[in-house]
Amino acid sequence: MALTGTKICAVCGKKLPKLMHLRLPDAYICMDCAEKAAEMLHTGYDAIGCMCLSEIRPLFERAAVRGGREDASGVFHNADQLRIIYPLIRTLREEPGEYGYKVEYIDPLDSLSDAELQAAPALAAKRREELEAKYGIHKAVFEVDRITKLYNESRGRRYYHNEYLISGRVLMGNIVLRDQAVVKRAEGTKELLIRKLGDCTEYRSDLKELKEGMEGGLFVESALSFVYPGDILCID
Amino acid sequence: MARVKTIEKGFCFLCGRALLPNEGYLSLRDGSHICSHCTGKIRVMYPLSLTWDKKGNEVRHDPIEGLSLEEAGRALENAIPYTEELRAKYDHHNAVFVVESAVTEKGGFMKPPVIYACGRVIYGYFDQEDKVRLLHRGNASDVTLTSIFKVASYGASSYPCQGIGGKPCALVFSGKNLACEAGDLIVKD
Repeated sequence: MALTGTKICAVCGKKLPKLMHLRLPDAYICMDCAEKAAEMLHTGYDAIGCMCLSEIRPLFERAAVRGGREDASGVFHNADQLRIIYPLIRTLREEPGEYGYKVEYIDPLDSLSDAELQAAPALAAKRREELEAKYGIHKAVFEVDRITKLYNESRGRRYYHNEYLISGRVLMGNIVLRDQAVVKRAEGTKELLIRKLGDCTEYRSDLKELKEGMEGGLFVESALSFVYPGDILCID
Repeated sequence: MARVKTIEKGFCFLCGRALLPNEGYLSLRDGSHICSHCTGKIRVMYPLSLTWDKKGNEVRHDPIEGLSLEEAGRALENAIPYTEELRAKYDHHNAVFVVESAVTEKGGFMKPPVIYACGRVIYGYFDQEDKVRLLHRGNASDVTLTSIFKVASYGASSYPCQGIGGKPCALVFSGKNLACEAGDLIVKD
């Protein structure tokens, strides 16, 4: 099959880049989709290149409904609404080859029984009420785990800049870019502007949103020494 | 499809996170385990102390290991109020380090002497290039931290780290006419 025919990705339907694409025996897909397929199958691009479109497409269909689970009575439970009690658990998996380990998430919803799944929405609502009673009503509540000062490393020397990564977990609500976080101290409240959002490592800072229950990092561009591990940041 | 093999050694009894060997975790008195995130939060209440045996091997004395799960859970809830008490005690400085011993070295040709202050972070955290104040016998001097090292058996190890509340470390700074001795405080605002 020649690329001159259809110039769209067979999976996502977007325009196919000239170079960043992968040829399957019966179709072309963009590298983004190839990467996602490789992630889902825990394999490399070579193995994906040997697979037919009919083998890859079901993976994406399953991934699209992964944001939840159906119980025995056929009721669909949205995962985003249950993450307040069943957050994704970050772990590492052994990666064959030179990479060593790669981040993997365990979804507790996968191991729930039907009875537990049916009881989950009520538990989530109860937990939300408990958190609101404890911390007040806010757009989001974030629990701080650790604070890291960021630096660039060049020729064995670290060059620090006035940027900090506050890593932790979103206990309630969603956090988006440029939200204002407030921390309460005995002598008054202190405000922080969230410049970027990322995962728990300092390598990724391109997330647009941190959803409820997610572990992630808030990037703050100011001198920061008044936030401590265990602090609660209220976002309004 | 390749079988996924994840490396966690169980889950934290307090927060439910995966216990990862590379991040570290602690076993409590009753056999339960807690993750490094929970340990980091209560470390300020239960400071780690290090001693060395005759051969120079490091011996850790970690009071968290002597807690039960219930006690650790209570400590986790009280960690921030405890930090607030410490802040009130130390004039609301954002981070405080107490010097237990100090060594001064020559800084080289035309360079000021370098001071290695070994001690413990009482609360807060110190990073490289932080601007701090050295409080020595009622006098305050502004200094910039050039490095922070973990305290090793002989002097300080060569890997820079973050000085975190409750952990021993060595703060390195230099400056003319500076004096530092045991009992001095280094504070960050």
